[in-house]
Amino acid sequence: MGLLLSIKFHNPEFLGSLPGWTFGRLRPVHVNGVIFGSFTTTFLGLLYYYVPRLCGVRMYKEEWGWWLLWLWNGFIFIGSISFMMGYNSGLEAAEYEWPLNILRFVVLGLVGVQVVGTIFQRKERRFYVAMWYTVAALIWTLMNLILGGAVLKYAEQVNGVNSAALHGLYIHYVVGLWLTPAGLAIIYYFLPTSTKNPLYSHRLSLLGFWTLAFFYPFVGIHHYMYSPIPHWNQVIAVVTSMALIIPVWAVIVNWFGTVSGRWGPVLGGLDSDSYAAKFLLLGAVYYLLGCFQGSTEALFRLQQLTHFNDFVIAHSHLTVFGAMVNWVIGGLYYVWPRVTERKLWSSRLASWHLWLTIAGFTVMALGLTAQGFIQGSMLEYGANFVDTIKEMKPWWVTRTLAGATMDVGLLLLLIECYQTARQGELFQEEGSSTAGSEDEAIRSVPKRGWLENPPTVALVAGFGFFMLAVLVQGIIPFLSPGTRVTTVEDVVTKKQIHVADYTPLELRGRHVYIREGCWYCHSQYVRPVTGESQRWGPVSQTGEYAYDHPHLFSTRRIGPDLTRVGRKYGDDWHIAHHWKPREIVPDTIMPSFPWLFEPVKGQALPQLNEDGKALVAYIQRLGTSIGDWREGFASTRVTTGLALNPSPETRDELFALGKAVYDRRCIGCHGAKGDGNGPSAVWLDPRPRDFTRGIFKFRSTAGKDSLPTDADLFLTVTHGLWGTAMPSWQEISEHERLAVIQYVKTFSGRWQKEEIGQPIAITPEPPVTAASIENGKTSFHGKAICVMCHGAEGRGDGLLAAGLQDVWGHPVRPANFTLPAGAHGGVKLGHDGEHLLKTIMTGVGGTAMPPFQGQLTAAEVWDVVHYVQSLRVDAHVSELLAAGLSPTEENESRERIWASLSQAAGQGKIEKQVVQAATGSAMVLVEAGKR
Amino acid sequence: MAEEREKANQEEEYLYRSAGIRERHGRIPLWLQLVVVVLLVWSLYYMLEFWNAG
Repeated sequence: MGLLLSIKFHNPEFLGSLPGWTFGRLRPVHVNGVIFGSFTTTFLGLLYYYVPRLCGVRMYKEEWGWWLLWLWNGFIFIGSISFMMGYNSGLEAAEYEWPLNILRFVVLGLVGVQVVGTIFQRKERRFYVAMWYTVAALIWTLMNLILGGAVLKYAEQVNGVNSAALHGLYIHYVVGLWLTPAGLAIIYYFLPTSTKNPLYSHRLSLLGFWTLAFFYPFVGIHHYMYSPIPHWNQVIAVVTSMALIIPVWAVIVNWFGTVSGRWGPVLGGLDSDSYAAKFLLLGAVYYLLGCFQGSTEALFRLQQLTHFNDFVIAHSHLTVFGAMVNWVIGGLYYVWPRVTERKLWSSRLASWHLWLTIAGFTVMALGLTAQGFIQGSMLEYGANFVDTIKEMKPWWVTRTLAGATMDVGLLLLLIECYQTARQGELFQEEGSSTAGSEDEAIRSVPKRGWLENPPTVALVAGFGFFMLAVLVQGIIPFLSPGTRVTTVEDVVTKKQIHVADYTPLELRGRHVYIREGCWYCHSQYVRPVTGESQRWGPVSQTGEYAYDHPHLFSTRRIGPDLTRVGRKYGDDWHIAHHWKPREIVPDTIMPSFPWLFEPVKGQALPQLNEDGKALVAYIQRLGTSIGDWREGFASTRVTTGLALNPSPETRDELFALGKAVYDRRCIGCHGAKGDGNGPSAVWLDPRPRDFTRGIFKFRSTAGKDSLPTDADLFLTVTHGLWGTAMPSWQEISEHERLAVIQYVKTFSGRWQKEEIGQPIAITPEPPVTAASIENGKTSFHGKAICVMCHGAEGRGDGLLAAGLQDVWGHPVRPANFTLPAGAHGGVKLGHDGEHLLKTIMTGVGGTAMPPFQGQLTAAEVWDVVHYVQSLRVDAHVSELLAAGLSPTEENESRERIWASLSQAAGQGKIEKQVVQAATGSAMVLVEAGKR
Repeated sequence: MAEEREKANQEEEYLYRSAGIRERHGRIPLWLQLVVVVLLVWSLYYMLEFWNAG
């Protein structure tokens, strides 16, 4: 399963057209399959071997084992099928639905009863370290399954940030309080038995166990660092993660000390015990590396660089496969010949298995670690996200090859087990040098300390530390009112506003988002580091997640973060992207989702079905609760490009670069010929620009459909066009943007035939006054006849609006000035005064919007600009009032909104009356909205 | 004398008969004890320094 998933990273269409075989559906099959399938199943088998031997009695209720075997395998099999069918709770590592959760809990609970029952009946005087870990692992995990399967799923109050905090604990309890102690139990039992040496140090065993039991329960929040989870909880997670170096180094010293004096026989041995020891020691090396990686990556600075990327995957594979799985394999090599009473069939096969594992897994672990640093560094230096994905593809091919190598090794193990059982020589347990005889005098040893009593292990380490950590890292933050707020700070006005609950349609979309596993690749929180607020939008706030149950923070970014994706693109872009992603973003590795569309009839364009519509509605909602932040996100006042005057040499270089940029980022919509007929164009409304006619919407040059300057094109490319499929490209380098502009200009002969006019003169913006707005309104309704297209209230619903077409014959909608940034039908380049002035003066190329330069004086245009801005300011204030803005803060808010749109207002050149007089109109808009 | 007693203590073994595992009482190397102390001191410093830094 891991191999199939790995292939999808570099060949995203692989198995892609079937709903059950997408990355999002198979990912939980892989992760849970490794944790509960390959590791836990083998661990339970080994537990039935070592627990009776360490207790000196037969397993309590031994006959249960047969039933538990089938129930457990049923759980694994049905669970995997359920994931492929789309049953997913949305909580990583806790994805199973309730019947499967109950089944898993029952099996592990009954195993726990068997273990405890055996301990009660034991004849062995002392309680060996492997038993400490076994008891603690079962107690921790049974409690953790209640946390993940019941509390996180059904306690509606545990939502948003608190859901993430508790879930962080849950995830790491699966790793640190199940896989780790269970794995440690295995190596602690099988290393001394397979190397036939005494365990090096009981004291180290105590140090390792108790420091692990104390520190590990606190670390889980390191999965969500820099999120809105309280900072002090994150600090505790960092400190305890680093403190885990203590138990890890303690057990490593203990194990290598155990082998001391026996390295020759172990490494040179060809029997099953030697291979058991080799795999156990191999796992120990990976454990040391993986855990050091895990501890240090919790540090804030390293989190910035490595979180969300393959460095984390390197860590999880180093620990889970490298250590845990190799340990149970080691145990299997030891036990299998004994239970089948046959010697290992082929030491050569075992040797191949070992070396294929070492070769494959070392390449995988090193590669993934390097990938993490590479991608993290690229993003820190401001690279486009999809570019970093493209950079990863060759590495992912290497990972696939490494994984295939490991899989061959595992296949050899299967053959080995099968052949050993069938054809191995008869096995006879040799007298072990460690076993000693019953009569051997045992020297007086220190009395068994209370730290190793079963009740202490169970009650203090098992229950006590677990509950303490849940209290500190889960319950106390939950009780803190600051984590349960339903308000956020409006980005523009800095005032508190309420967050609206999801609509039924958005909730359905959220369900689809969870079902399809979108959250395995897309995170939903913007961190205040590595330029994420420049890349995706404002940093996440606690209140934004108030209605998220479960939270969808996610731990991985195979695709971009989606916290602020709402209104970044039009719906049409999302539809095209879900139908054939690579037609619109050639380098993406996102799967296509044809099952979110109605069955295609003939040549008709596929239409979203109800699930698809809901998903798009949910996506468009994301990140929009914090006010109209996008208005000021990408500036319309960029000036780079104006001075570009490439020499013949640099022009060639720019042309080559521009073509490369165009082929990767523009061709899907604008087409190879630049005629606006890219493969995705049929989905898009408005249609992508046809560059062959050399007509562009937004220009600073005078005259109808005049050629734009490079600076004009640079502005459009940088800013994007809101409400359309044209995104902002501020993420790619300035050089790339300038280059692609040069390439775009080659599609039309106009650039060779015509001179580019000088940009129009921009007169300084006069103060914003009530008179200016009133004059602008008069012009809007009269001399400038804007009202005919844009409507009496500037909502784009004038008398002529319905029949307007551009020069290509495509329908055109006049802008609705009242809509927020990015809303479909609103302005495309913002409400910034200078931009509006230029647009009024030069018109909108290729549309019915004429240039008004010459028809209106500069002062009159500024008046119209102020009137248009006032429409948006009023609408914005009404949106805030509807979201709970205190009426006493209305004027101040209005002033700040004006300052964000108007340079004059930003300099304080705004009449008090403008801020105060419009109060009534905003209230009218609120009332109108309610009606 | 104390050193000899400590050495003897470290080399004491316990046999888990049914499992055939021998276990030394053993020791914790000095360097590891130092690691423990350093990490605990660092943890204290880190918490005091960054508790309210977010």
